[in-house]
This record gives sequence, C-alpha cells and structure tokens, in this order.
Amino acid sequence: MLTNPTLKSWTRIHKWTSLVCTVFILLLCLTGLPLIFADEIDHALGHRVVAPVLPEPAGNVAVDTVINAARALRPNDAVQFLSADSHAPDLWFVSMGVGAETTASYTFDARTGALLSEYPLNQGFMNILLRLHVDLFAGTPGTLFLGLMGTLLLISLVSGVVLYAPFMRKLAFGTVRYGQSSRLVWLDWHNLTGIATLAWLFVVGLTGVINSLAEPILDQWQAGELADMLAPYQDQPVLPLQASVEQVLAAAAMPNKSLSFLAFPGSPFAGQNHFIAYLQGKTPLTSQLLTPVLIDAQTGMAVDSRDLPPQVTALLISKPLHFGDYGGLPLKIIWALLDVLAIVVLYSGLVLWLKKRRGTGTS
Amino acid sequence: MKRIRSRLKIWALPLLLAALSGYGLIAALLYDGWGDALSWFALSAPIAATLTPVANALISKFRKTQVQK
Repeated sequence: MLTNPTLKSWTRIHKWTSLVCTVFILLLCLTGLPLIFADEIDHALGHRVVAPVLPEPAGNVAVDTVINAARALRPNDAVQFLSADSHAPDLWFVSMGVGAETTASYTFDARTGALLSEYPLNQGFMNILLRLHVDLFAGTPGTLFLGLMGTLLLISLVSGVVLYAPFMRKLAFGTVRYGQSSRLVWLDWHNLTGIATLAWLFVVGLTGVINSLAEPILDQWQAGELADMLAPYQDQPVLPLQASVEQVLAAAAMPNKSLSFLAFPGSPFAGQNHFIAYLQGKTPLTSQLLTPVLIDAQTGMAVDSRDLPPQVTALLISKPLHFGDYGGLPLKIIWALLDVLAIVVLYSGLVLWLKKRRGTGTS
Repeated sequence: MKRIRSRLKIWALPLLLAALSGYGLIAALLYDGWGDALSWFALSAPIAATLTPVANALISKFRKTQVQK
C-alpha cells in the first residue's frame, strides 16, 4: 500500500507533467486524427492514384524510361529517389530534388511509363496539420520540443497508473458516480478512459518520441555507418553515371526481398558515385525493415551491404506503431476511436485541474 | 462504507486490457490476414471497456423494470 507522502509526490508528478504537456498532446491528438487517414484523403483528393486497368495485360517498360521521363519534366533537378510500393506493384514513384531538398514527387505507370500524377508537396490543409503535428512550423527544434512533451506524457501515464489503485480501492471497474458532484463524475471518466487506453497511448506516445528523434538518429547513421561504407571511395571525383538503373536494380536484388527505394548518387542517402538500394522483406514485420545495398554507379555492381544499426531499426518499427497503418482500414478506425478516447482523458484531466483550482465541487 | 477491494480485483481488468492492447498492437505487425483480424478484436477491447458505465446504466434500468413486474 502506498504511504501518504509517496502518494503525494506521485500526485504532484502526475499534476505537473500533465499540466505542461496537455495542451500540446491535445493538439497532437486533434491533428493526428485526420492524419491517420492521410492516405485515404490523398486518394479522395486525387493526389494519389491507383494504376489504371489496361485493355490487355502488359509487361513493364524499362525503369530507365521512367527515370528519363522524370528528368525531362525537371531538367535542372536531380533524381533523388525511385520508390516502389509492394501493395501497388504497377507504380513507380520518383522524387526530384536540388541538394537535400525534394522539389517534385511523380507517380508513373510501370507498365506504360506514363506520368499518372504529381503529388502537391508542402501545400494544402493536410500539410498544415502535418506540420503542426510534426514540428509546429519550427523545424528540428519544434520536433524535439514535441518529443519532450511526449516524454512528459509517458511520465504522466506512469504516475497515473500509480494513482489509479488508491482511487479504485472502493469502486468496481468502470464505476461512474452519477448523482454525486460533477468533479467525481469527471474523475471517474478520467480514470476509466485513462486506464482503458493506457497501453495503446503509451505505445503511440513512446513511438512518437522515437519518431521525434528521427533526424538525430539518421544523422548519426549517415555520419557513422553510411560514411564508413563510402569511406573507400571518398577521394574519387564525381563521375558521370554509367550504369543503367535497370542494371543497378538487378545488382541489388536479393532473395525474399523487394525494393523499398533506390537513392541516387548525390542524394542524402547515397554516395557521390554510388547508388544505395534499400530493400525490404516480404513478411509484415520485415517489410518495415530495410537492408541497404551499395552499388557502384560506374560498373553497376553491388559492392557492400550491411544491416542497419538497432536505433535505425527501432525508428523504422516505431513508424507503423505510431501511424496505425499496418492493419488495413479497420485498424485505422480503431486508432481513431482510441485517439478520441485519449482526447477524453486529456480533456477530463484539464477539467479536474480547473475545478480543483476554482475550489468547486471538492469531494 | 464499502469494503476495500483486493489488489487483484482492482488490477484484473486493467491488466487484461493492457495485455489485449499489447497483443493487438503486435499481431498485425507479425501476421497479415488473420493477424490483422485478431488485432482488430484485441484492440476493440479497451474501446468496449469505456462503455462499462453505459452497460451498467442499462443493466440497472433492466433490473428496475424486472422488480416492477
């Protein structure tokens, strides 16, 4: 049983961690709600398309045809990434960019080489929601700040669990004391929704914190392991591309793996004279993980491949667990309902604090 | 004064809900098809649990009408 002084300090921890983070976590829950369905919304708005049905089945055009078409659309930019989607095998996605910045994102039909759509980058209502959710329009410091708020949420959740038992000593699970003070009704709803959504909210909070560290994690990987893979070639001058993309993809191929994306020479995730193909597995779990394969852009030969370090793997696994996009539309709907319940937890907590401050309805 | 509930009684349902949530979060990540379906069921449990007060109200309403009969 908890002694009174211990209980008091846990109450203080719960109160202060919650007070500091609640407004920001409420913002994250509200902006996150439509973001759960970002893919569906993109399709509804026509920003993303499915491959059209062709009158007769066709093979694929050479991937170099697609790359050349993308280059022709933006002759002053470089190809950054060629991406595939294992759920849409008839599509190629090509990102163009200048330096590390992406300037265009095209969807091509892999069978005909036709341009199907261009994704509107950095614009629209969903982009505003995304920025509010990811960095509060403040770049990396904004992201790290939200990560800190997420960490406070995790402490608040742990302290909330400690406080749950003393509050529930005389109450059956899910009791709401209607007919008593409104503060008690809010408290009972807070305790019920809080304890019910605890595990989910903890996982989404924790994976959100890990996602907020994406930039330092990837920076460290680029400066460490990636730089190490490229070290033997760092004194080479920048050479013109020789190998065809078709040849590069063939060299990267591994059994039981498919292409997630191919980073072109000069782009942030490749070398000056080397492609890096990032391959994904074919099971639900391994499809979230990536294996980089270094390919010489002159010879088109694979020269190195290493597993990603644990912190990058943790980041990759954190993404689906935060987004809820790994179990079809029903899982997204469940994610949205749990998100609404999390809003109830936060809002009722806020109401309880306000009522206590005003000194009304104290039990 | 109501009786003080045992630790087991207080924590039985919260632990079950946490276990189901954890199972649901992982099942869809490990297996397609039935893994997805299992995760939908398991992760619906915490949502259903928040309807306990509604269920309680319905049950007591039902009992009252039974007594009146």
